[in-house]
Amino acid sequence: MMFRLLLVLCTLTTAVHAAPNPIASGDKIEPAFARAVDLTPLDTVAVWQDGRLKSFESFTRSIMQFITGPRNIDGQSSAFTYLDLVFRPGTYEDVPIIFVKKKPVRAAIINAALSKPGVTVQELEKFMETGLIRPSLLRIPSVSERLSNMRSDVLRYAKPVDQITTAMSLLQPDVLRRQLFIIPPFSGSYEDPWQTLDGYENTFSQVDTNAAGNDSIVKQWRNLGTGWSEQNAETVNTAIFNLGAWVPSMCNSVFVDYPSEDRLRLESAYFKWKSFTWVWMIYLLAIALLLMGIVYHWRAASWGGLFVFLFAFSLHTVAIMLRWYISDRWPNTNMFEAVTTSTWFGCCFAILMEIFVRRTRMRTLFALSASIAAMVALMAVSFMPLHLSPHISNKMPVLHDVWLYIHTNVIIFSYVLIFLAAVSAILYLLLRGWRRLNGGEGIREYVSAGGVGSLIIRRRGGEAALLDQRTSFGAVLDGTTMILVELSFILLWAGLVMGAIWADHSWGRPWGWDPKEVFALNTFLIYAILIHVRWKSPDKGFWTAVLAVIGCAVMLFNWIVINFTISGLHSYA
Amino acid sequence: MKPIYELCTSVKTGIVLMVLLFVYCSVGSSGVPIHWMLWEPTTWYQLREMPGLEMTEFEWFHWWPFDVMLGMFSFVLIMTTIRRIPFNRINLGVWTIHTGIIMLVVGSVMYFSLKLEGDVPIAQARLTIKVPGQTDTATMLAMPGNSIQVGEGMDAWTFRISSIDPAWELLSGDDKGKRAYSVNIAVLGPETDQRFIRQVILGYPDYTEDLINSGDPNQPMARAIKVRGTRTIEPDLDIQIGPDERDVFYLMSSAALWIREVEVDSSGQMSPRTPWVERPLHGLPRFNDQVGNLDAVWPAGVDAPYVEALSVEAPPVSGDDPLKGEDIIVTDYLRAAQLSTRTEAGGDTLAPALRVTFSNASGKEKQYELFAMDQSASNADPSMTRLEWLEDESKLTEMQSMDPPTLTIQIPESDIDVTIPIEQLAELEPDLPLTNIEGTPYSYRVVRFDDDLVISGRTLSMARVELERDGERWMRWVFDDPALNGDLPMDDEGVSAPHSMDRRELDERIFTSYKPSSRPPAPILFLGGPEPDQLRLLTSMNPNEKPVLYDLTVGEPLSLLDFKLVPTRFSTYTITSTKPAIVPKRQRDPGLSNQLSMIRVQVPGARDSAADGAWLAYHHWPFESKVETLRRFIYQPTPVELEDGRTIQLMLSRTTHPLPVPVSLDGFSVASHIGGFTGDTSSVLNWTSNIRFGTGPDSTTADVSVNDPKERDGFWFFQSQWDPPDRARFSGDVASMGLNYTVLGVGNRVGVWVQLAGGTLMTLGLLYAFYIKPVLIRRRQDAVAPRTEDTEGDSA
Repeated sequence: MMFRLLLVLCTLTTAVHAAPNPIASGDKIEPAFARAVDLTPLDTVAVWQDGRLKSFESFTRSIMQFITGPRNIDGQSSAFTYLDLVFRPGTYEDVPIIFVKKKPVRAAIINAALSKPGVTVQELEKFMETGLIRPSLLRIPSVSERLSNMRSDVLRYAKPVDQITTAMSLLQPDVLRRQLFIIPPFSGSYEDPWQTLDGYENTFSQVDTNAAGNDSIVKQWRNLGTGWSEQNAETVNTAIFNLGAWVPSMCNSVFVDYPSEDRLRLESAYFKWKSFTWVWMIYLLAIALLLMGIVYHWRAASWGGLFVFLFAFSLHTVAIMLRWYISDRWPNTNMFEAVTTSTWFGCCFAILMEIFVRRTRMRTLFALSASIAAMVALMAVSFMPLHLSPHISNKMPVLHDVWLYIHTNVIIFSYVLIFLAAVSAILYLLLRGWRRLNGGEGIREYVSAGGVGSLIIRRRGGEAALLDQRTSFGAVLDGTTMILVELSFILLWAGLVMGAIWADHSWGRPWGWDPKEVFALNTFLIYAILIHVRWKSPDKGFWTAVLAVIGCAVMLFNWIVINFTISGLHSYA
Repeated sequence: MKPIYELCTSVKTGIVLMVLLFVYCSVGSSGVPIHWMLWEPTTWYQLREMPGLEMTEFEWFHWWPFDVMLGMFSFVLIMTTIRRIPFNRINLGVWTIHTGIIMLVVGSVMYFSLKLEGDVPIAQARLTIKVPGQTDTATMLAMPGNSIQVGEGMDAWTFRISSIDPAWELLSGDDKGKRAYSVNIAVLGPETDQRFIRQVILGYPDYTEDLINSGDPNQPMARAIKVRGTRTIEPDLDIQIGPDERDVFYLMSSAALWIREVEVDSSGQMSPRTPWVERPLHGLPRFNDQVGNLDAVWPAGVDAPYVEALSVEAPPVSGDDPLKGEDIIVTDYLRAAQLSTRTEAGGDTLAPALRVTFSNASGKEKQYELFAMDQSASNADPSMTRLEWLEDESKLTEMQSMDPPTLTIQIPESDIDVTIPIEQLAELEPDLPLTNIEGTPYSYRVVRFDDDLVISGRTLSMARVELERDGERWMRWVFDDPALNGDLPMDDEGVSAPHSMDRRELDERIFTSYKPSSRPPAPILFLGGPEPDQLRLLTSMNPNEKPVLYDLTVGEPLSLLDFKLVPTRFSTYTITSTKPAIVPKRQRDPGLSNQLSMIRVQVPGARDSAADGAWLAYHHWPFESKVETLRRFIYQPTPVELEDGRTIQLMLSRTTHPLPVPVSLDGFSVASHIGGFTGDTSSVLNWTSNIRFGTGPDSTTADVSVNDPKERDGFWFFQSQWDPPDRARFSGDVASMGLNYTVLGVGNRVGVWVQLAGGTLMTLGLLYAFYIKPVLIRRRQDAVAPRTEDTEGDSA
């Protein structure tokens, strides 16, 4: 039975990973050419974008996201589609390539395009499903007029309509080419602007019209364009190989701050490996094994679960460290980083706790909670790349402060502990519910000494209650919840105080009743209520669990609804 | 008393109060959901913004219910702690936490009750100008495009800031390589040789120099020192560049009515007679529109304002107030509105107006507003689509006759009087020869004609006719009103001088007049009249075919060629008025906050024109004049004439508070990421305002940047806003490289250290209670354990 369950889980994870993402575009794009072109040599080419040097792979992903959203076109890489748009722009006029995120906007477009010449119902149905639409359809006057009218609804539709406008303007090859800043300033100055290849070519032309044609890089850039237009994979691969070799070499000779080849390769690899967000599947496996270990008291499953958890955590750690190295800063400045780093903190904490409580009944509970937190977080960033964009950009000026590392990390650590506490609280409530369903009397189980106290203070029998095999599992779960509640309670408050110190010297006041501040305080209030209700209530375990779940809901509300919907000063993280 | 004592010392009371505080905080911060789609911004209704409350977050969290709850909570906390928690080593943590909470509350009461918070904008530089022969000086802020005139009539000088480089690299002297704020001013003096560009550099008066026209098309401007051997070509013209000093800051979320008396000259120009003074406004709505009369505004569909006149009094508080002893009453408030001129049916003025919608087969629609009496007010090209009013049918008959335009020529000396149809144009046929007027020494050819031009409010038609006599050739502009005719010289290549240049003396030996074509003036011509509400359409798509006449009914479509038109509204008698148009709520950009708000005020002693009240637009800062206005902010004071003949100006802005010392800017710079400053915020690493506290030798300097505020006499100054680069925004504007001003946040922070101490105590107390207390209990148990194993520790 266990084996069957494992098999099902593996099949499920593989199926999800291989879910059909590519969108069929039509017959104009040559899959053979796409397969034959090797863009790997460009991994070592740096591109300047918005004050950062990115790898070519990272640059094309971030720019194509404005057009195709989270989708890939025909299974092509972003880099391939980018170059295809640059060199064969007309090809995509009738290809569904522009991603429309909001479903009401999709519905409005469909409404305006319905029964217009050349528009099929099937096409519109597909658009509603995938969100991808062809540029030529957006150019239909009734559609563009409808979007223009929707634009005036600033609160609901201005942003999605602006995104469509941005995508349409980016489709122009000139606009795309103007983003490709790959030539550093010859002055070598950090603050001088970078040039595009076209600009580089023009610089030559101003001196000598023949010089541009003789320059090896310009020649390869032209060859790339010609080969691409002719769909000649051999010419294209040669040009790419040469550009990948010569551009970094030339740039390194004039610009000392040019990123190292290793850094650029790793950055490309990081994005090609989807920022390791697929690790959620391994965490899922760990959860399954750990749950089996807990439910069936099957030690092998517990050990297996711990092993898989450690394996997932290792990959998670690689992802965090890689991102740290690539971005040259600790990853905690945007939502993607806050979510992934906080759960990494949760896993670190879980490992420490698993060592600490290895002889108690609490063993594997922390690993289970952390696995669930990490799985949820990585699933979120994996399935919502537009909301939780993995792209690396510069920090806002206000974030250049040491308190970013202190305040933010303490807060996100407290948040993940709140989530972990909610997991054990839910398990407690499920246990209570299950017992009640099975005719139990709803025993009021809890550890009387609280969280860490329950591991320290002697109870009857001379040992800590959680070492005692006779202690009920409900009490074990309650103790786990309380350990997490206590630490998160302290960290949340300390984080709030640190945030106030930062706000005082950044915004000129320690507290401004900003929604994010208020809901962090609200989370603290829920926990304060929890502590006092636990003191007074006879059913301590139940109320602790309920309030831990409510606290987690308030924390998630703060992180999701307040961040994305209700604007405030903290909306960048 | 005992039940009350029990209640006040009960943990349960504390829990209930915490729940109430949670609910109050939630409702005031996120609002309440009115829909299940929690991620939609429109789902969240802000209770504190509802009519009657109209509170900011700050006000909501200092409203009496919150204060009462917090006070009760503190009281219960103190009483319960004293009664129920023995003060001993074990409970030291709890006592510390509760002491920390009380300290935090005390600190917060001190902080928020004495809080002053606002901002002050400071420009990088101010120009002070003194022209030769005049003693008075003029001043303006250094902002791209700012323009000022000094002197009057023939002696007037005009100064216009043509460009500003905030980081100009000094090219010579010991300072070579340094960067400074440089302003180029286009100078237009009374004499032709007094036209040049003067460059002044902040902090480097010795480098002031003029740039003049070099005559070289490759480099049209050259330094005067290279062309004339002197740095300035008008040494008596004194343009000083210096700091912009500020001595007040503007309080956040405040409102004030600003008032001053002005002098109005013969051209309608207003100059201040008294300084701006403020009248603080209390009780003004913030979020909800409220008007005394719906007719006072253009409403926004479903977002109807609440109709009941406000009565917010603004009494004078300053001795300089031009309306001493008189209260001004605010009667209307609009959160987001803009003045708009629109036409409505009604009244007894003949002013036909038509709204018509055109649509084509692909579904594209376009709506036009057409006005018969003012073609310039129509939003359609009047040469293509227009509305005309028919007094009688004769005009229609004339238009249907399709007579061509004609030129009438009278030459009395030859006794000639001919009317010639215009059939050929030299503009279309450049080789068209001149035609001799038989029996006269004159020849002519028509170059082009333009019918129904709107010039200075008049509708005129004209033909441009080349005339020749005795080998001399010139251009005559022949109008349908011959009194306007004029002769213009032509050069050797037959090109006439621009109309604005000196005219040639009119040759009065030849008299000409022009009669425009009787063809419909536009291919799509809507005709109102002569019967009231009669509407017809005269189309003349093909110039060679006779026009076609259609009767139209409002609301009924008419198909023509490949398009369809529907007249949706037609009124013969209309009233045109200018009123605030309310911006529909869904079209309001939340980022704009109250920047588009307006109020209407009743001014005592106002003349009839303002008897119904005057609308005032919100100004983020009450600027002195147009040239004192910061880029991207408005300056639109509302003038009100008083019955006693005086004129005052009013504007809605904010209240002020004095700064501890005057503050000015020595410099404002941007540090950038790799690749330099592109103008986009993403390229900015930090902004730094180099500010100067005080003036003269005792002044001190400080660098304020993000996360690095500076304190002076109890006030903190922190970097708040900046001036980004932008393009020219309208015709005649100039682009800006930005960095022309900084905005500093200013605030006091009484009680912060008490708050911080309270917060820290709470943290320490929590650590003690959760981690030290169990250890203490364990130690106590260990000490007792050998004697009795069953000792039970205290509960947590």
